[in-house]
Amino acid sequence: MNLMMQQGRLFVQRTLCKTCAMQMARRCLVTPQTAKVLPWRLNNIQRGYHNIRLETISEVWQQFKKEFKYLKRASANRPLDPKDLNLGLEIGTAVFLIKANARVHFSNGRWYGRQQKGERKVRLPAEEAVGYTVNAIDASGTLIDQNGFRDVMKLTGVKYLNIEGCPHIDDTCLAHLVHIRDSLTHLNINKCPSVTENGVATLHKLRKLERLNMSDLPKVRYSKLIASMLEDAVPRLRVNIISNLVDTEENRAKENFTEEDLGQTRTESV
Amino acid sequence: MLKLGRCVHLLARCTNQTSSFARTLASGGTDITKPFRQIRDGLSWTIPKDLQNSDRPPGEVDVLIIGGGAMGSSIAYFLKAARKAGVSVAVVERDSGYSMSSTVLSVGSIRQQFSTPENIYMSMYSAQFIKNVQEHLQVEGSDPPDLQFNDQGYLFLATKDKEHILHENHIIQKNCGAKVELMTQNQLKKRFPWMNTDNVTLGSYGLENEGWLDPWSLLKSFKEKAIDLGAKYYNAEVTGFNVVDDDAKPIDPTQFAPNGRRLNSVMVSMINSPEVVEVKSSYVVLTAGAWSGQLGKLLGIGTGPKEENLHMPIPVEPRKRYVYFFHCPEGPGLECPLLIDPSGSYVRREGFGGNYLCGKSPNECDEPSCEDLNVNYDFFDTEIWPNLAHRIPVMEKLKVKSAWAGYYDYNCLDQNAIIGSHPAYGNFLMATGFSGHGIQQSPAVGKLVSEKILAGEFQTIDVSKFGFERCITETPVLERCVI
Repeated sequence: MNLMMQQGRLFVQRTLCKTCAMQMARRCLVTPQTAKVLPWRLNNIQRGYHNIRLETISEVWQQFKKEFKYLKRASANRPLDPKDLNLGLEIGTAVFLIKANARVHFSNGRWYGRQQKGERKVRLPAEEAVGYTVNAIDASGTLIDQNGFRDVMKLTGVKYLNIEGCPHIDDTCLAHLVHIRDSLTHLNINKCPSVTENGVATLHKLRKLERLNMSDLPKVRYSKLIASMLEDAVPRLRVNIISNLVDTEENRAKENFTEEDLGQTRTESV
Repeated sequence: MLKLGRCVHLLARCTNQTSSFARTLASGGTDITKPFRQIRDGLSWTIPKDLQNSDRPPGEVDVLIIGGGAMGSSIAYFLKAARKAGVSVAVVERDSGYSMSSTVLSVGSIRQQFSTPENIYMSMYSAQFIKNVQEHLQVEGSDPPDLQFNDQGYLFLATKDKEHILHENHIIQKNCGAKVELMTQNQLKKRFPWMNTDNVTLGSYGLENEGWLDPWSLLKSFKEKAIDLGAKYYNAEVTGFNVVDDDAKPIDPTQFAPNGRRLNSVMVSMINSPEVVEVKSSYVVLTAGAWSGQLGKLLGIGTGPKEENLHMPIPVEPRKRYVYFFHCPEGPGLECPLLIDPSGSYVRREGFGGNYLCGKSPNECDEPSCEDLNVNYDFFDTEIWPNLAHRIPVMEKLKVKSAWAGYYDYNCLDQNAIIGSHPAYGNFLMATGFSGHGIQQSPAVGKLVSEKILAGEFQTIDVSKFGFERCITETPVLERCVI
């Protein structure tokens, strides 16, 4: 009886999440199972602060839009469903990623997730993928943030990671990459708007990294300087940077160093 | 229903507002809602500005926090963040520019490599908080806080005779869930080729949640969010306490149970004025940093009778520490962690232009005097530079660009925090004595002290080991470190 009530409550919680009941959803996002395991995750988000200065309809609408955006982000980063973890950690995490609109490649050679860009049809990994590891993750344009990323980092054996254009990937996520430092060889963080130079500086811990794409990072200052310092620190690394800045006098001063200082630049700039 | 006189008064104010409203409409002003807001403000009961003296603390407040540094602001934030409790918070800080505060002068580093589990848990909680700081401390309408957290890690080096300490600490840290790895001499040589690993046999490298941040931004974010949530900061100094002991009963002092004596009110004297305000408060939290020992003496802690547990003073005093900023053109690059040499000196990278910060704790016998914050550059030449040059050979060529000094709130007993209430006074709490690792524990301490006030006990982490009782029984809780 108790179990049924618990499951019923979970079901109600998940459907309410999907139907935009914002206040209940915030409290429901931590299920009883995960609350014991990770006591400091998601509980800490202080969203009980309501803006009581809503004077006009437009401000109410702005608040509604902000809450909806927050809800979309939180629902993409929910804790892993224990049902999916029955088939193993790899498949459970892969299902989590697919629900967040990413694509996952297993070592049996098949891609799971949305088949064509923009299509709604997804292929989920089932029993045929048991025993295989996740090789590559294409999570570009998803809403994964550091809570979901922490679950993804429990996978060992991820070689290719593409988190291009994710708005919530920030320095803490790049610091989390240290968990897959033994297997990661190709990393793509183009166009991530929340990454700063402190986050990129922590990538020296990925000792097996061979290719890094870090073009178009708006908050990273001195990106070419950091790229060359990374190439010094990590053996076998080659960095691809495509900078939007046109090569003029004022932009060189902005970058805070000149080509002569570095000698022969090893970054490929187009 | 409004009385006639008030109606007339309101109508008069309305017509004043509407004329400006008409003017705004006529001129095609952009902010159409401003006149509506003026009317609404005119209709509501507000205390006129000249009667609202916000510089003077109120006569009664729920929690009074002495000292507005990182600890005080963090406690104020967590108390106000628990909105349902509805606690009124006043923070009294005598130095509005924070010129001598340990918070702003600190190097701002955070690590999990302690040997006491409570310290490790507090640092882990604080690291989680700092990583989620945008969710916690963002004030609506202004920029999100940017703490510049560099997740680079600490590297403790150990010689052959201290190796076992590092091994044992590593097991404790792993059990608590810290992400630390041990590196042998060969691994160190391969990973950090610029380092001289002559007599070093083992290194402990922090992989995650360790590094350094900007302490001034942390203080500013805590303070602004606390003020936004309703805490009040006052530029004043605490000069006395009033105690009520009507219900005090004689008790066994070794039991450390409160005997009914309470702090009734605090005498707060305004800066540059002879005015003294008596502020009645339910709880008083002492987070005055290096000056906590002095303030304790005002309460009689240290000068009272032994039967009431008032014979031991708060063992916190200021100690001066120097930090030097130098430039080394060929120094280690991105992979430079916060390196701690077996001799006690530390060095870390600052920015990306070949600049570094370094320092060292001096020996007990030659502690510098704490009268002012002047820097002694000979200390660098004699104590730090030889060790640095021995450990990192390229640092033989460097140039000191600048230096500063700051105070540690040094706990003379065991250099660990004192968190908790005093046995003699039921409502007097302390959070001081961090001896150099205050910044990294400030979010956790804020949460714990707010729990102690609101729920009566520590819920997140049990830090009863760090209570004031150990100062009375003189049983230190020492950190086993390699230096």
